[in-house]
Amino acid sequence: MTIVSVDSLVKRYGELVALDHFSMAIEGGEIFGLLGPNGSGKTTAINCILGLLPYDKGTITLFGEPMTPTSYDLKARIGIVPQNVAVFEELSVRENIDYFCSLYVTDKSRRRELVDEAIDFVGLSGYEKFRPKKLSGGLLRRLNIACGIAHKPTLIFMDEPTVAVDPQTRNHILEGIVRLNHEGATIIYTSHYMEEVEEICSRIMIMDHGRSLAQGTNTELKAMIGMGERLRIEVANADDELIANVRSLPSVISATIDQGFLCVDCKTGAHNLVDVLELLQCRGVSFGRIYAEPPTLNDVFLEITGTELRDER
Amino acid sequence: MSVFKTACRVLFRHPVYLIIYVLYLGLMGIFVTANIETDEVGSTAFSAEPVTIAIVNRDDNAFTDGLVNALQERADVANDVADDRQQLQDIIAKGAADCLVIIPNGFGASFVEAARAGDAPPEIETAVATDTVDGLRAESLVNTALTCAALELRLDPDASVEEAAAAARASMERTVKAHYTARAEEASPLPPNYLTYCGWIVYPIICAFGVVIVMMLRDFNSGDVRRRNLTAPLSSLRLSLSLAAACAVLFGIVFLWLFGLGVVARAGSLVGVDAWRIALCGVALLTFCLFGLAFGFLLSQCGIGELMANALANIIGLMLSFLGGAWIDITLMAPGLKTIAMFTPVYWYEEALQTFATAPDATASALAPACGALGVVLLFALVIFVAALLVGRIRLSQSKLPAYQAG
Repeated sequence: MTIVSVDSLVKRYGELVALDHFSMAIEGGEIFGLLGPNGSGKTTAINCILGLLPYDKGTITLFGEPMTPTSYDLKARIGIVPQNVAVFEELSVRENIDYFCSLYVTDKSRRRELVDEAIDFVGLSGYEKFRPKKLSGGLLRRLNIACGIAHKPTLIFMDEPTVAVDPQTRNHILEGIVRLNHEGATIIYTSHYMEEVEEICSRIMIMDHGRSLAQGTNTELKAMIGMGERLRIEVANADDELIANVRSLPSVISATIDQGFLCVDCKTGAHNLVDVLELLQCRGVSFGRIYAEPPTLNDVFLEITGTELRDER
Repeated sequence: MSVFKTACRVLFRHPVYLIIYVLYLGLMGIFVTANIETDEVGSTAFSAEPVTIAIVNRDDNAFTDGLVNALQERADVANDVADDRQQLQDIIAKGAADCLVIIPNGFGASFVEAARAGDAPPEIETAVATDTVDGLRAESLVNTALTCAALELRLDPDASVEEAAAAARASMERTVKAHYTARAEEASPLPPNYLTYCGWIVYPIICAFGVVIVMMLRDFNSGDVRRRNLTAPLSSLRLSLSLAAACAVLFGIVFLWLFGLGVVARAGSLVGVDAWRIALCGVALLTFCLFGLAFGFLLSQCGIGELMANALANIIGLMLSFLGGAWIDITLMAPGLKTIAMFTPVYWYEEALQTFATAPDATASALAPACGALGVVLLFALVIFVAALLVGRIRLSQSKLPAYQAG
């Protein structure tokens, strides 16, 4: 069943077109990764989907029903984990979770169970009475997640939930997200950490300038770009002539020398490594360690969205 | 835990501001106005405060004896003062007397002789306390006695010293009679210490609302908490009403404490005062609290932090209190300042209080000016409230954050 359906959404801020006929469809049970550089329109798209921002054109349906600011039945099934930690400084961990849960669940005893479960889920047991300012960055992130999922939503929007946390906390959070998904929640996940998206998302969309540029599974996205693999070969003596020779090979996209390693980006093909090694042998260049890596999501992202810096005028 | 309960919880997690701005400053208002005297209504009796004169008489003369006697009739005279340099300095320095008079040897004879001849009489040596006006009053009394004696001796050079002294004392008996009629409509049945207290509490009201509302709504107004609240199945109207109800709790605390404290602490002075006057003062206070509420809401919509809220609330509170005449009688201000004061809500609040204090009765015509003044205060509150909504909208549109929408 399609849980989220967005069709030809247009949103303008004056002259700026934030969303330009943006379309998206998310099936139930997915962890859907939404990728895009800063200012690409991710947050605007999510705010429109949540009914927080009016839009100029297009349609949005959640669970098969049109989403409006007063669609309270639909809102009751949604959870949101914003990028910034959104809690009350004056309330304890338990009070914060209880407050946000109370916006969805009015029954006190049921809420108490849900709050307990949320505290266990994110691993905040023992910190219930702590105020946010007493918590570390990682614990704050966990509290932020607990506030968004305590009411057991079936559709969860997570906006960069792992920003500025240590690797252990990141692992804990990612495992939690996968667990939520296994329990039946559909998750829309935005992040700048490509390896995270690669690891947990079943489908990924890359957007820029308010438009969807590509979407599919991790493998499908990688297949969309021309790059086949990246070779890293430790070489003893490489000169400009050798680099030029490598670049002239038909399957090579680019070749550079980086800290004693010859780095070669190759097109999709069966004999890339063999071709390069044969060339090195012919030129009498001795080589040591050899690494061959498939393209990463980061390569896909950079190829699709470009390498120019964002957040600049 | 509902929005209302959460907002109240946030409110009471900042007890220090309630204690300082409401409890403590309210009590300060009671203390600083405690010594404002409450005159009996219609009283026409006046009496001068007695002064103390210390006299060192080094002259054994009938004239100087007569002078001392004349002063004793009008002041507390200490004439057993030791003629010692150190002790004479201490008399004024330690406040034992308002004026020290030293009559030098031969002064009486020289004075009489000069007065009879029409020459300038010799001057007497005096030292006065400068910290109060009593020293000058005492010195004036001494000079008056000498002037009267000199005049009598000049008018009747053949009179004996005793006769001249008696005539001088008779001259000093003559007083200026002042006639006045108290205008009934200006008499204030409300005790001045209560009225001054009602003016004083303008400052705590502005500070309390300015700071506490900012603290209470700070997190609710922060971008992502707002986003979370709006994503929930809860109408913006209900959310706003819940927050308004929490503000009403603060409103009730501030109003009840400050009004109740004034009535209870000034109960003694308020005995016999018409109940409607006290009730109407309460209405004026209630109206001014609405202005305070709007002011606090405006600060909260500006997105300022705790430190800035404290700074702004105190500075604006001080400015409005001074300008509006809450602490200093507005009649003492320069005309330009008075004109500026009319553009502050405190001025109109004070106007309403004065009307309630001096109105002859509780008729519509007598109270109409106060109603108009309170209407102006309400208009100030409304304008500030609308400005707050506008500021909130502008900030939201700039940050591209979702606004709380109706429905």
